[in-house]
Amino acid sequence: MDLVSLGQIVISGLANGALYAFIGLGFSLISRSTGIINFAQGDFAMLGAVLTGSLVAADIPLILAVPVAVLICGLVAGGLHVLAIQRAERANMAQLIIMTIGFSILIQGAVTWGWGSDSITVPTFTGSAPLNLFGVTILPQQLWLVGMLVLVTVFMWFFFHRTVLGFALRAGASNPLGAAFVGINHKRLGAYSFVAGGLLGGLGGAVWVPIAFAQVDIGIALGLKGFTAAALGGFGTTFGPIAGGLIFGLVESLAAGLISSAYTEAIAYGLLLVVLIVRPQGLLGKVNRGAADDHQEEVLSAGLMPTRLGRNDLIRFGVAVVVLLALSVILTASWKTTALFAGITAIVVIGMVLLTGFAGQISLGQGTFMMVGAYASGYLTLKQGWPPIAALAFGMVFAALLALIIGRFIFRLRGYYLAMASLSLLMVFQTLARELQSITGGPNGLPGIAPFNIFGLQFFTDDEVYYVILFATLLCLIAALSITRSRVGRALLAIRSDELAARACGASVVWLKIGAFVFAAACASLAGSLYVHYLGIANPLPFGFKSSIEHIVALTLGGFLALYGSYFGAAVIVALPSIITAVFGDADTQSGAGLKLLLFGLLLVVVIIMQSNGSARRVSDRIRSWVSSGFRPRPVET
Amino acid sequence: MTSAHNSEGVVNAPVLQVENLSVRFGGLRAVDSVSFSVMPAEIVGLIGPNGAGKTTTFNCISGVIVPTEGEILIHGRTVTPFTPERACAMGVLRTFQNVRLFGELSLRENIMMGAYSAGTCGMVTAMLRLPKHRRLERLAAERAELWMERLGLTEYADAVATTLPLGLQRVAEVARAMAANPQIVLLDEPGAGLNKVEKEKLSDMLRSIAAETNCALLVVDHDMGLVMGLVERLVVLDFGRLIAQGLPNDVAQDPAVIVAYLGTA
Repeated sequence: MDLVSLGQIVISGLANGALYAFIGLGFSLISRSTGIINFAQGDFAMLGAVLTGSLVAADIPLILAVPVAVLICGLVAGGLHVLAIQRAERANMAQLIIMTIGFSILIQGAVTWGWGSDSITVPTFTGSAPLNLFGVTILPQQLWLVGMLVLVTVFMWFFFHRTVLGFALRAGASNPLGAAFVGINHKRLGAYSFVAGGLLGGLGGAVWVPIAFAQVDIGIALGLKGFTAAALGGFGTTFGPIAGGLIFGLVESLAAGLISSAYTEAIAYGLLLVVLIVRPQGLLGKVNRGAADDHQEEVLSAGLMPTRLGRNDLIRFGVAVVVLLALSVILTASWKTTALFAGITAIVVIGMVLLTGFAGQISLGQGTFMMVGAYASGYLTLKQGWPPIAALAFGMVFAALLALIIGRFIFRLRGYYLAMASLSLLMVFQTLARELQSITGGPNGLPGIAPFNIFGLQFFTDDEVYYVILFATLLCLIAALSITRSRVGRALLAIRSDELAARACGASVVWLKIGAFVFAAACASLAGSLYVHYLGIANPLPFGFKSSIEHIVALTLGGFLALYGSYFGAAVIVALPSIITAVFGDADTQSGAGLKLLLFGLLLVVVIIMQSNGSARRVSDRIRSWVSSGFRPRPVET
Repeated sequence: MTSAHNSEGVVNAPVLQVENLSVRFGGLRAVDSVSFSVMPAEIVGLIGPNGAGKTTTFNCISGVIVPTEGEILIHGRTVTPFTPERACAMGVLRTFQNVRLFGELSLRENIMMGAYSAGTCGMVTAMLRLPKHRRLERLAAERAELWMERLGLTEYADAVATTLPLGLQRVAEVARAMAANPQIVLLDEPGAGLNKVEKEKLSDMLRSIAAETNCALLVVDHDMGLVMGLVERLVVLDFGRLIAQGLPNDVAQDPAVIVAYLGTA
């Protein structure tokens, strides 16, 4: 490779890196002042790009369009903090992080609904004649990107080290309570940091969009890359994300130029995974050694959770069995298909109740483990002639081992590293599934997988498959019940309440979290296997990031600690598209998809607010008393 | 190293030995080569003015802080690595200054958590309800009943632990620690927030526990009234160094201790 091409690769890497740095700066800023990993960070950049595009399309001059678009991004971000995060006052960190996932979906849905999915075109700021430097061509817009980044860096340094508000932000980040005593309002600081995050993201997006082929669904990818920038550089540092972003841009560009563009994503996210495993505090970050973590997180108590199997469990389980069996008789054919997919989703969500509800860890990549199951079943039954049950078991064991290895590294440090690690793992596996064609069949997948059979029993029709999935769901439910109503479940709840006290009782936090993750992975793999046996084809598409969002929404709707709620949440998620179609019609699929995302996002945000301020409890209590009183209307309270 | 005689006059091996323990935070020597030991069933007070290094020493023994130098031995075996789990596995249990019961568990389940270290059993064993899990659960339930009965908590067994009055919560923490069948329990300011009557009851309770179970107690407290009435021996720290140890009355008259507490004239 000659120097000129290498120079070309470096230039485009640095330009992209500058965008990642913008987004990463927002990540670390918000995380430092509020502790929240804001998943909507990439969507602010997307919003900035889209708004600039539509303002320009409305004949507004560029010099006005960019600032207005950036400003709107800041306002949207601040608005989300004031209207949603501040309302969920007693929410714990996991809930708040999931809420920002809701923001991300909300923005994406709103933009898709309103703007459609056309790519966004914006003219470059100062012409498009490339500059030539020793044979390497540089686009003026690339200089704009890097130049803006330098400007912002200088401004931020000045802001943080030379202004009162900057000091206040830093003080509030290091000790909220202490800062409150000297009159710094933590809530307001949170809102400011969100506004800053919105401005940074929006600016990056607006400056970047003229040289990009940007579509509205770019937000997730941008968010991930910005997060990688922040994680590489170190979340706790102000300027680490800049270094992280530039390094990440370079690696990505070099991977594409020197190895293969097909593996760009896998290499880039593989790098993130390695950093999270080897140096979770980031390249520039410091880890606070000394005392074992004495941090007590305020947990919104779910009241007393039983930790021993009781008669109530028997009754409830019986009711669940009866209801699900009754459904198999009542449901019409099309609704039965819905119920079937709901069952498959419920299996994944049951695992997540243990992982997220009990062990407090967020996974955004259960699709990875579903894929493991899907391809294990597909490949081993089709190409190796294994019996389906053996292939299914193999997939579960493989998924469990994968979770064990990942968990062993990720859970060493407290925090929400799993969220990003699982997401990057998903990206790596999606690429592998597309590229390892000899095993996975590439994007076309593995068609022709036979329906599930065991001991010579075939399960062909929806009716028959329903019973298989029903059986599997109930089995997972029993397993999860058995775990939560045991000393292990008790230890997990103890850790939730007070980690240090639980450790002082001998509970091994790391291994308990690993156990929950392994269980969740095995459940997801089982679901993946059942899924491909039903559809007859294994391909990467159904297990992408969108499925992760559906799992998170289902988990939140059902309740983080509610095993039976899993099925309910899953049913709502699976049925929602049909309901949307029934209500709004199927005319325009694009805006329909946008509407679906919009509703998902709203649901997430509203449900978490309701859960965290207790109104969800009041509603469910009311329904329960209404049901137990034989559906009589509630007497008016006096 | 000190060696004490128990009531029968037989020389015993110490349950806890702290040897040349040092902790430095940057340039600050929070604890500076401190050595002392505790015998089985002995009640020892660890005292000293503010900043003397009591809490740091206490945190080292319970595995919360990794010491810069020195060793901690339980029945002659070194505690490594310094983690709370490891300390617990070796029979070192603790209570907390600001009581830390589990808010999502009932009182009974809190005390059952104390017996968690009685054996290891993984998630699969628990899921399949194998005999080992059954045995550990029965053991935990028995110990919880025993200690609730013994410390008068039975009537609150099903209450949410964190809603009980502070006095009861302190007793419950002791019960949780005792359910582990510990070798030694570290009590972090057990009298804080209690009134005089409650403190006396707590003292009596702790004395009878030490006598009946052969479990040693190491008490850190500012409250000299409680400490002098409760402990058999005192270890006094000042500026991270051990300045005196011995019987409470002797220590109280030690000039170095008086200087440490009152300052030089």
